[in-house]
Amino acid sequence: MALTQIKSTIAAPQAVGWVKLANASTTGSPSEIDFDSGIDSTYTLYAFHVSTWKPTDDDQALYMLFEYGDAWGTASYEYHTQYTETSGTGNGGVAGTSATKLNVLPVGCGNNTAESESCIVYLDNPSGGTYVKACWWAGMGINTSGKPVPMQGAGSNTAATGAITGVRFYPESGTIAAANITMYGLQK
Amino acid sequence: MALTRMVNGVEIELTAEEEAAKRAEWAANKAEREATKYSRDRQSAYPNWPDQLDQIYHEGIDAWKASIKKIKDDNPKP
Repeated sequence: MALTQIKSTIAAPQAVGWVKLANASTTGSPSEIDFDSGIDSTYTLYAFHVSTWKPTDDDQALYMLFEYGDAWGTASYEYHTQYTETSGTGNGGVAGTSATKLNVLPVGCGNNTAESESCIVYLDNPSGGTYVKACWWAGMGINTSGKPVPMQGAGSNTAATGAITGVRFYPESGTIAAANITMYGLQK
Repeated sequence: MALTRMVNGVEIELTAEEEAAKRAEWAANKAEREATKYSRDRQSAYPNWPDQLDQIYHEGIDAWKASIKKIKDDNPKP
């Protein structure tokens, strides 16, 4: 069979961009922040801007889960997150296979007054039904030494091809002292 | 005080069952972090690749091994 190629077609110019869908800003100290509404086929790419994430306890990673229907996935995650400890010389990374969560920002955030972590998490085509869902992220945090640490990674739940209907952010341990998370959808 | 979660911007209390599960998860995560602390501390202490190669070139493999061993010894496996 002959090889084929797909050529892009020129569309009429139109304004597109990120649409703000939801926001969660802490007032108390919740243990988790969920978005389980508004994630559907309306958009094929979602972004979560996690701003000034601050755990109550010192040195806590930022974890993430997917929800499928009314059930939170708590198994079969695979991920890789790389980081550079700018306070020293080490380049590190964490990986999970058959994990119970995605480890988005593995270098524990400090909880001193001026310390926090921020990142942006992308989730591709969450309502698709054929493939496992691609999720990737980039961000930075101020670690327990007060130093900035860049982090980036990717992951998925490799056992699930069903539609993702919700996303949960939570610290490794303890509650959330402060966070402001905004969910966006990229207009088709 | 009861634990809460924020769902779509609204804070709600966890049920007793959910709170027990969350506290058990915290304990497991703390144990895992403590058990793997030596590995993270070693990663932070190792010189970067160019510096390690430079040390091997100038001082030889035994000097490099000694410097790596010191980091391992300073951060022992539990």
